Amino acid sequence: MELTSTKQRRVVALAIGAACVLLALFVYEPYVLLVAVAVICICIGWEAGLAAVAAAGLLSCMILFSLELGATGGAVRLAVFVVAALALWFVIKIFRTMSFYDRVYHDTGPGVADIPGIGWSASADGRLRLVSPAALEYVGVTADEMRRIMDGDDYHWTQFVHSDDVEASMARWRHSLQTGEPVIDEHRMRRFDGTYRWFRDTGIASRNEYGRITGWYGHTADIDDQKKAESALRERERELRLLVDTVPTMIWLMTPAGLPYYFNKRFVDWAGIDSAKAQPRGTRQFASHVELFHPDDRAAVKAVFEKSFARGEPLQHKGRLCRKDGEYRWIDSRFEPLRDEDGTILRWYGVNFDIDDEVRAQESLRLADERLARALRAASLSELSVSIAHELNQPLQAVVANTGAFQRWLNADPPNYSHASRVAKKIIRNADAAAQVITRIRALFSKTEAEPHPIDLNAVIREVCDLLGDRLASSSVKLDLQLDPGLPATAADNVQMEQVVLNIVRNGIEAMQDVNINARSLRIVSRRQNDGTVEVEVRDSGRGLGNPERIFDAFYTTKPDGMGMGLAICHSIVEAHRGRLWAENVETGGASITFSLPICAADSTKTSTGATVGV
Amino acid sequence: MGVATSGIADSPITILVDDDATVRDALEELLNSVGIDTMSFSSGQELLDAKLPDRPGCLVLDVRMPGLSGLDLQHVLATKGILTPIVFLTGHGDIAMGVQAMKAGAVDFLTKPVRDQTFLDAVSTAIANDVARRAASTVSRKNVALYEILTPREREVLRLVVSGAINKQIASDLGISEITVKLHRSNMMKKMNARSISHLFNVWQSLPVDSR
Repeated sequence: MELTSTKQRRVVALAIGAACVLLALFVYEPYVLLVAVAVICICIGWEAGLAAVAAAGLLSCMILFSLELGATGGAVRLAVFVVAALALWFVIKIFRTMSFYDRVYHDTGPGVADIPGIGWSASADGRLRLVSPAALEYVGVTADEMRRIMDGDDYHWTQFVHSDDVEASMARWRHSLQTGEPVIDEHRMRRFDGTYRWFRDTGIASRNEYGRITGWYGHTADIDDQKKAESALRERERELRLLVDTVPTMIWLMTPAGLPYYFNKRFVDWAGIDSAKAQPRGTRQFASHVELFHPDDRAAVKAVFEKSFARGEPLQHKGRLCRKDGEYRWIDSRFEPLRDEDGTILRWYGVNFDIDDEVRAQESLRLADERLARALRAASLSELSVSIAHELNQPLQAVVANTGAFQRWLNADPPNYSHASRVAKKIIRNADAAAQVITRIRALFSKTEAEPHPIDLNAVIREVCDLLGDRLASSSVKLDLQLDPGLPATAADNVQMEQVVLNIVRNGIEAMQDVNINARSLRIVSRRQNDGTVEVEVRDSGRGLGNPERIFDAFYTTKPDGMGMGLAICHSIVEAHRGRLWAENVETGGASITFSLPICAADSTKTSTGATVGV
Repeated sequence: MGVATSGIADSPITILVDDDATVRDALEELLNSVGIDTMSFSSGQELLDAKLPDRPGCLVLDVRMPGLSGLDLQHVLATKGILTPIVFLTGHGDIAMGVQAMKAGAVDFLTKPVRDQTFLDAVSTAIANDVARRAASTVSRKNVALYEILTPREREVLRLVVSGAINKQIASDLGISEITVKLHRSNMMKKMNARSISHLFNVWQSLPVDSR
């Protein structure tokens, strides 16, 4: 027979005690009462036990002295009985202390139901003994169902654990069972609604007075929110790391003294920094960071770095840095200090951009430009000769024809001197025009002769308009001059500027060939801009430009018989004067070509009072 | 538009079109010095808008001009039936343009700067061509008038005579007697003012093809 509960044990013990009292009274043998004393001591307590010893003493006294058996040895036997009873009481008292302590603890300590979260207890072999009502509530089963589950198999609780966590949890639990070490485990548990939440399970072994494990008591806390926050934090950290490692730039951190202590992955990959030895090697290496730069750049880099670190100023510099394959590549480096509220530098943040491709592209572009310019000069030599020939042919033709006329008037009979003289004057004018063309061409091709000096652009514009007066009239173009009378002088070459204005105006006139004769108007505006430049705008009322960006390209022309050189030449002249030339379409129709030139330094303070008279 | 004229109605006149005033002026000066009247325009459109004198002469056109180019102008004039001979001047010699101009009936294609005598020769040739053309067209007009008074039968006889047929063949072709052919033939010769068969043939040749 197995007595599983205290109550059963107590009932049986009391029955035995009562039986022994009865036996003592029947057989008049007081020693049987010792059993009853023992039962009371064990079942009720040591105070009751002491009373039981007294009662048993009285009872045995009554038995021993009420008997007619005689008093022989009765007093001695009573004394021996009382001593034996007290001895028994004392022995039971000292050995019952632990158990009493347990009972006191059991009664006054918090119950399983009082534990926040989920409380549980397991027997020494690992079988779950009990769980708190909170656990039942969480997993959503009744106590009876739980009892059935717990009776079902050894590790019935695993069915509530997330399948991914079962194995690890079991392993830890078995380990603790074997070693007696506390179990600390985190796993997901299924709630009554089927969702899983993270829990932290903490269990310790309960040991008896011999140190043997009697059972396990544990507490399971819901750490889901914490876990999620942690994982979100980790995710953010990971993303930040990913960001730092994937942004297409090299990032590094330095101590206030300028010693690098962190390089992002891209930097590590680029420079081939040995990440295993990064710290000591990096420190050594970058303490003399400049060593990594191209020998030609080192002195400059060193000076810039030292200045920046000494003054705590942000830094930007460009230099060639050695890549892991030993190739020197152009790098754009920038450092910024991070300061605390007192302004003390905590660390330096640095980024390096690999700008080698751009630098090389720019270089090759520049070279290509030069080559193109040279090629253009060579290739267009024949074209230019045609153009020059055309420019010269007109005055030459006039010279030839007038000379023929001159000769004939003189050879006439009688010679017509008045006619001859008139023609002679024309010849001189024609020859002058031819000489002018030559001067312009020379000015265009030999820069040394084109010396910039202060010129009045208004005067240039008026001169060109005079030159083209015939052309304007024959094309029925209405000219609208809006010249700023206070226009400051610009430093430029007069002949070249004339060439520019001439080309642009001529271009404007030609752009209006197929426009209604009454709608042909050309507006020339000169104005001063606030950025220290003067602007000249030529606006026609033609059909506008199909491609405003391209019209300055060499050999780009919209005219069937044009060479496409005029505006390209203008462009190079204006650029040679550090000015700008651009074209755009006007909303009201037509195109506008504008160039701006810097104001002559000595003339930048000139006011309108000293200006030339307007048109 | 500039006009320099000696005022004689039938004296030749040269019409210049060039956008460059100095060239225009110089060429006029040269032509005037040899006694040729001139008239000048700065663009093709101006020429087309103007009323041109009915005088023998020629046109001198610059190839490169804003608006209508010289070649465009040649084409427009041709479509208008103005057959005045043309001499072209061009700034830079362009063979393709020259070929195109000559194919379209230009008298000459000159490259600037052209020598004065060369220019004057070309203009003279053009003027001579125009005089001959105008004369030919006068004779032609006269002969057409004569041809138009012929009866249909006489025209048939004329066509067969100039194709070389003898009276007998004509008679059999037209299905009439030889006597009647002779009668028609003598009437036709009289009406056409033809003294001989060869003269009649020249008259026939001067007739415009579409009126034959």
